[in-house]
Amino acid sequence: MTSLLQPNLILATLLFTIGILGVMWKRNAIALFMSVELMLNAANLAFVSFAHELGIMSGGILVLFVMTVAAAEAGVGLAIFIALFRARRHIRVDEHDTLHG
Amino acid sequence: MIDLVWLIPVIMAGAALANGLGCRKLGKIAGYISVGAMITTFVISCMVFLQVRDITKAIPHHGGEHAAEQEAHHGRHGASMLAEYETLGHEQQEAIKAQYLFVRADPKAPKPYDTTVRGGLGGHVPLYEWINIPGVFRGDRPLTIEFAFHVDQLTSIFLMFISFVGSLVFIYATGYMKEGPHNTLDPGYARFFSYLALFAASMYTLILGANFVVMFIGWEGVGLCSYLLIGYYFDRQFSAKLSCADAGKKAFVANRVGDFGLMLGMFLLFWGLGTLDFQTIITMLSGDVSALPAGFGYNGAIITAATLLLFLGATGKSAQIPLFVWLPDAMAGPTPVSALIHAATMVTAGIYMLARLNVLYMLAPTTLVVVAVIGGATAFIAAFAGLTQRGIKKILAYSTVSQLGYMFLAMGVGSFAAGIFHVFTHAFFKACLFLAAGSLIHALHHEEDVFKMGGLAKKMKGTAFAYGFATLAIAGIVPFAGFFSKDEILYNVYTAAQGSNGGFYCALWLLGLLTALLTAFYMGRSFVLAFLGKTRLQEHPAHDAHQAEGEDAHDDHHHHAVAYSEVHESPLPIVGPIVILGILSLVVGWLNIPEGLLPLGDFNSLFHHFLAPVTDRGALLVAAQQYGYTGGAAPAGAIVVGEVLSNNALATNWHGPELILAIVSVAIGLVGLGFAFMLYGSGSLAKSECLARKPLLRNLWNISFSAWKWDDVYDAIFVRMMMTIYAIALWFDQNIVDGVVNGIGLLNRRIGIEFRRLQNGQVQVYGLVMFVGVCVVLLYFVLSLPQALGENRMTVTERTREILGSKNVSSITTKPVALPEQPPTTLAKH
Repeated sequence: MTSLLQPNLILATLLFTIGILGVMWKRNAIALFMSVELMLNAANLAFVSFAHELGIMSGGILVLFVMTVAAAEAGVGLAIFIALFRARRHIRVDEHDTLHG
Repeated sequence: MIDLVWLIPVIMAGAALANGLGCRKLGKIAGYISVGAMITTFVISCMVFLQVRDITKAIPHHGGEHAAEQEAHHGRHGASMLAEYETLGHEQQEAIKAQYLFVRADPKAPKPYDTTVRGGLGGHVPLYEWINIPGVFRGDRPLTIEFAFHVDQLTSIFLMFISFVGSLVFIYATGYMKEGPHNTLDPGYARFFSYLALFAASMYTLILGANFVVMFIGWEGVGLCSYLLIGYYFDRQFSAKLSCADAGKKAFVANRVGDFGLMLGMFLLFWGLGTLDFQTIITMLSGDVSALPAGFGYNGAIITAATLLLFLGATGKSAQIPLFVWLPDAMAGPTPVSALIHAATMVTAGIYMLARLNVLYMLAPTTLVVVAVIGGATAFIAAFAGLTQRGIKKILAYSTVSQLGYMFLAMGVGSFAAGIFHVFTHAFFKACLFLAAGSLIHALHHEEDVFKMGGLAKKMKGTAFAYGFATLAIAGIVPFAGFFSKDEILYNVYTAAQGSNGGFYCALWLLGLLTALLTAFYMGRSFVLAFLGKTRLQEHPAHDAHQAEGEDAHDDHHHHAVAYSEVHESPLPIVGPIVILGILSLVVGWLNIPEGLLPLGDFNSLFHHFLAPVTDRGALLVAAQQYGYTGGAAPAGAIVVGEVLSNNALATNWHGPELILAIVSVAIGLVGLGFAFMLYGSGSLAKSECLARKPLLRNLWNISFSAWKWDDVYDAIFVRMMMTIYAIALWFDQNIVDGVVNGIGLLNRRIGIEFRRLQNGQVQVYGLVMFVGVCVVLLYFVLSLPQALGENRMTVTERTREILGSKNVSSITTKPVALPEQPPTTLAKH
């Protein structure tokens, strides 16, 4: 059985890159969020790939943690977006820059 | 009582504190507190004085020495004394040595008080060890300064007259510091009495201090109080150029210059001798000469430098030539202050210090010459400036400077007791003059110009009587106090003129006589102008005078011309002290009648005999050294000659010149007074104005009135120089120092302005920056990875395996994770 490590890592890298670019360029907060999830999942993929390759469990367990955190983050983040939307009637992140120096 | 002498300054400090804290709420009570405290200290001082006197008397006489001493006091010659001494047994000789050379075995031995007051060492009252720095100075010499007081004859005399004159002045001030028709208290009444009490506390500390440092506390304390009290009317103008506050600053700055010298002198003495305790220094200097450090012998370089520097301090405090300019302007303070601080007590601190250190000064003849010249010159210059002044307090101020000059002249010819005696008598008659002048000023609503007075004797009998007595005293008319003290000084200068450098001292003596003439004239002038002749005041009040007075009763610094018919004698608290002092101006001189004038047996030269153990130590030591005394076993001649010399100073066997000199000085005084009376007696100023028109006299008048242009010269040299330096310093501060500080601030501000653009509020940009940062860090790790992997260049996987500790990880990659080989039995059954 050939190792799936390399293709998996390439896939993870691609996902991560897409996520990064999304975080950079997307203006909509929801899209931004989705990109962040993409990055997290790219990391998860890398974790499980290595875990499988090395035959250890810690990678898989870490993924569970990441997913938990991501879910919590999504919960908090979406709540923030809703609050933001209520206040400003839009969630275009580039226009929310009141904390500039 | 000597042990409790610390109560004296503490009581006054307590009064100062109480008044300072109570402030306005106290009202009249402030005055009572200070007066009460002052009178208490007077009582304590009396007790201390009596005890010192008793101890002085109680020194037992030693057998044959007793006879020798008696003989000496009655004028035996040195040769016969020497012969007599040599016939004495060893023990008696030793006893005489101990008595006259004042060598205490161990100066540091703890003694509550020393019964060798006779030897001048007096009572040492240690309170606590104040400063103790173990050996770091000059090798391993520790700096130990105890907070200690010292009581001897000199101290007790000062205690007596300071507390006595002080009490009278305090009582006087309770009457003087009221204004207007309703006798409203001065708004700063409590403040005034707080300062006065603080002054008294400092002055007591100054004279009681057993070492330089404690004395210095008092020295600075009186300077501070002087500053505060000169500037008491800080919101008023004193003269065209100076406000009262400026006058205070002037006094303070002039004293700083002096104190600079004083401190350097102290440092020099400590550097050389390793101690600042007066008695230890004196004991060291009168001890073994060979044990002294270099430069501390007779006319040594260091002792000369130290005494000169200390004398600079004295010229500041006692208003002598380079630094006397502050005293005439110190009259900006209220009159009681002028009387107490700037005439009777504080300004004599410099003289006190010289007398206290007479051993040092006698060992530095070069300094003594300087002291004599400065003293004589100051006496003359100030007396000359006093001739033409118009403000009565100004006249008295120059007179004070002049009399202080006399005192230094006495010190300069080595007759310290005579100088102290003049301090003593001067305290009474000058305080009297100032207080009487204050009474006039008070009665005339702050009119100080004697040209605008006249004929006041009829209206103010008590004041006039006291002022007249004091004038006779300062003019040196027999039998008033000033006659005895001034005559003794002039006589001592004359005596000095019989020795080496006769011409020099003779010139000083003539200068002293000339000064006496000027003194008599200007004092007579002030008396005649103020009290005699036809008045130059308005005869009757103008219509609105009363109204104006009523309106600004407390705004008293505006002059209201008081009409002659309105002038009243001042109230009892003012006149009482003046009259007492006036009578004392007659009496106190009798304490020191030289035998040459009037043989009174034991009553001759009481004052000098009392002080001799302290003030004649230097003269005795120098005389003994000339006869070979070096601190070890004293050759017989040294002691006897020292004793003879000390008695010579009392002039027991030289009646003729003393009588003649006395007659001359009285005659000079009478001439001065008579001339003043002739010139001003009619109450009209026409004669003096006529004289002043003559060209030569006109020039002299100008010199005198401007006080030798001393202030202008200082303005031109020092003030301008300092102003230039200040301007440069200001420029440096504003441009260089501030430039650097502000530059740093501006730079940061600039940087901040640039960098704030980075924080643009765009979350995505922050994300980008963070991403780039993480990439950089990662890149760094990746690049440094080969090193981390070690020399065998494992792959990441291999390295990870190694870390995980499994040699054969690849074999289990496809298998489930290995379970424990022997699972728990319960699990297996299940």
